[in-house]
Amino acid sequence: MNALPPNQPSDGDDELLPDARLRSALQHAPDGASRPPPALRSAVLQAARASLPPRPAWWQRLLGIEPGHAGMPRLWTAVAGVGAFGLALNLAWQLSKAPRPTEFDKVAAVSEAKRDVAPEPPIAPLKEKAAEPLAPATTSRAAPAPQAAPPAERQPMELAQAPARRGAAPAPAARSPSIAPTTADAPAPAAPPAPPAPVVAAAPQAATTAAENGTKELAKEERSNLGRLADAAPAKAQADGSADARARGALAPAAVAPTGVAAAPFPASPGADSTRSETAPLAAAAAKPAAPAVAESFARAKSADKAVAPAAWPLPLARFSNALNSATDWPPGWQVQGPADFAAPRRAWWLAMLAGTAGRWQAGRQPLPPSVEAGPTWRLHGPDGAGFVVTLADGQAWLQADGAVWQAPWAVMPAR
Amino acid sequence: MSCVADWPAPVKPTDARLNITDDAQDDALVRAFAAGDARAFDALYARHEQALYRFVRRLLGRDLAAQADEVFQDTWLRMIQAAPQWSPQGARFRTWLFTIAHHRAIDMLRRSGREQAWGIDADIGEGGDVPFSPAGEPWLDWPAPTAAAPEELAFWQRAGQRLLSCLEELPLPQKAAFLLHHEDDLSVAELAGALGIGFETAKSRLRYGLSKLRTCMGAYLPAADLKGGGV
Repeated sequence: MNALPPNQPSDGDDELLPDARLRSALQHAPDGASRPPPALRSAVLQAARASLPPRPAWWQRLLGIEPGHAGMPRLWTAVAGVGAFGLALNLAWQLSKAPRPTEFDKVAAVSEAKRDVAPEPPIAPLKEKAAEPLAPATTSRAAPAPQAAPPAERQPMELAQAPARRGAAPAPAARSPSIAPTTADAPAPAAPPAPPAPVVAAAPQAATTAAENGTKELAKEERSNLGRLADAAPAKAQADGSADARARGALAPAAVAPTGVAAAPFPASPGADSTRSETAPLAAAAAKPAAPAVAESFARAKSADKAVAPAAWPLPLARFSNALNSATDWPPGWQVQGPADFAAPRRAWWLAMLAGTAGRWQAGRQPLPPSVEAGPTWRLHGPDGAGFVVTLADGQAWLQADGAVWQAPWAVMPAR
Repeated sequence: MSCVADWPAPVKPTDARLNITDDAQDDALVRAFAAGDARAFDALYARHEQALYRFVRRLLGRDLAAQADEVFQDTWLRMIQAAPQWSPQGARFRTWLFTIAHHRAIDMLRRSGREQAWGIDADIGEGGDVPFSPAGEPWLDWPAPTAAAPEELAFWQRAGQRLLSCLEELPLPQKAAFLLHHEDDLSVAELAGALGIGFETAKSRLRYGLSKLRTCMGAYLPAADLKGGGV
C-alpha cells in the first residue's frame, strides 16, 4: 500500500480543495453504476427527436424548402424573380420594337427590288387644282365595273384618263408616269368621246413605252395586286355596281368606250397595260366600237374582276406605311401636294394607321361621288415617284392608287 | 498517526464521470442537436446519462428517490428546449446540465413542501452545526485511495456506502455544493456561478458540507475498522 499524508485541511481555502478520500469514497459508492430505467431513457430520446423539426425530403432539400421555415422557398423566390424580370423585359421590348412586317411590306419589298432595276418615273406634280386629278383616277377604276357608266359630267375625265394610262393619246401619254393627269391635261383627250380605235392603236405605243422604261415585271405585279384588290371589294359594292351597270346599260357608246379602257390600272404604273395578260380581253372588248358590244364588254369586265386574285393593298400605300412605321416624323423622301394641313405629321400618322388597317377600307372599283371631287385632295408620292391620292369628303376618306379607290370612314381620323 | 504508512492509497478514478469530458466535443454535439441532428443528442445523452442520474439520486437522497426519475427526465427536457439558445459562454455543458438538475431538484422539493426540512433556504451555519475541527478526528487516519487492491477496493466501497449515508444528513444546499465540487470538479467560484449564489456563500456551504461529511465519516468508520475491513 502506498502511504500518503493524511488530508490536513488548513485554516485557509485549502480545506475547500476536493478531498481525495471523500472523492474516492464517492466514486466507490454503491450507486455509482446506477442508470435510469430504459423506459426513462427512451422517453428522453423520443422527446429529443420530437423536438426536432421534420427532416425535409430529398426533393425539399433540392428545392430549398425547409419545413420549419415559413414563406416562399429560396428557389421559388429566385424563379419568380427571374420570371418577373423576363416578363418585364419582354413587355418593354414588345412596346419598343418596330412593327413587324406585314403583307404590304412583302409586296413592297418585292416591288422595290424590281423597281431598282427599272425605277419608275416620278409622278407629275400637282399643278392647279388638286381635286380634278382625282376624277380620272377614280373613274378609271370605276368605269370597267358594271356600274361603269359614270355621271355625264365625269365622262370627259374618264376619257382623258384612259389615254393617259395607255399612252394612246399624245398629250396624256407623255404624262403617263404621273398618278393622274392635271387639270390642264384632262380636257385635251376628253373633248371627243374616246373612240375605240385610238385605244387599240395605242397599245403598241404603250408597249414601247413600257419596254423603254423596263417595267414589265412591275406592271404585271401591280396589275395582279390591283386585281386582288378589286376582287376583295365588298359584295355590297359589287351589287351596287351591278345595279348601276344595269341602269346604265343604255348609255351612249361614247360612255362605253372608257369603261373598257378603265380596266387598266392606275396611271401610277406607266405602261402597265403593255404587258397585261388578263386585261387583254377587256381591252379588246372595249376596242369594239359597236353599241351591242357594250353588254358583252360589261360582262367580260365583270367576269374578269371576279377572276382576279384577292385584293392586295396598293404598293404606294404599303411603302408609305412602312416609311411611317420606321420614321418618327414625316417619312423621308415622301412629298405631299395639296392643302397644307395634311402635311402635319399627326395627319400623316393617322393616315398610316388607316393604311395599316386595310380591312377597314372598302376597296373596289367604285366611282368617286361628285362631292368627293370637290373635297380637299392631297397627292403623296415617295422617292420613287409612286404615290397615291387622298381625298376627304362626305365624312369619308378616299384613297386612289394604282387605279383603284379605297374608302374608309373619315371619323377615325382627327378633325380637319 | 503511526498507521498512516499502512493506509491504502486513494484509488485512481476510473469512472468516466470524473473524467473531464471534452468540452469542445460537448459543444459540438449540442450545436449539432440544435441544428436538427438527433444522433448528436444520442451521443450527448450517452456521455452524461449516468453521471446526471447519479447526481440527481444523490441530491434527492433516499427519501426522494422516487422523484429522481422525474427530475432526471425534466432536466433533459429543459436541456432539449434550451439547446437552440445554449451558448458556452465559458461554462461547460456538464456544469450547465448539473445546474439545471439542481434547480429542478429544488423545484421538486418546494412543490413537495419539504424545503424547510431539507434546509434549502438555510445559509451559513445551517443546521446549527459547530464548525468542523479536524484535529483528532478519526477520518484523518483514512488510507489514501490510490491502489486498486481487492482489500482496498472493498474498503472504499464501504466508505462510499458510508458517505451516501452521511450525505443523507446534509442539507440540500450543502449537498449540492459538495457533489458539484467533487463530482464535477467545480471551483468555488464556478460553484457560486452555477448555483446562482455569492462566492462566500458557496464557500461557506462547501466548508460546512465537507466538515459534516468528514465528521460523519470519521465517527462511523474509524480508521481501525477500515484497515480491518469490517464495518
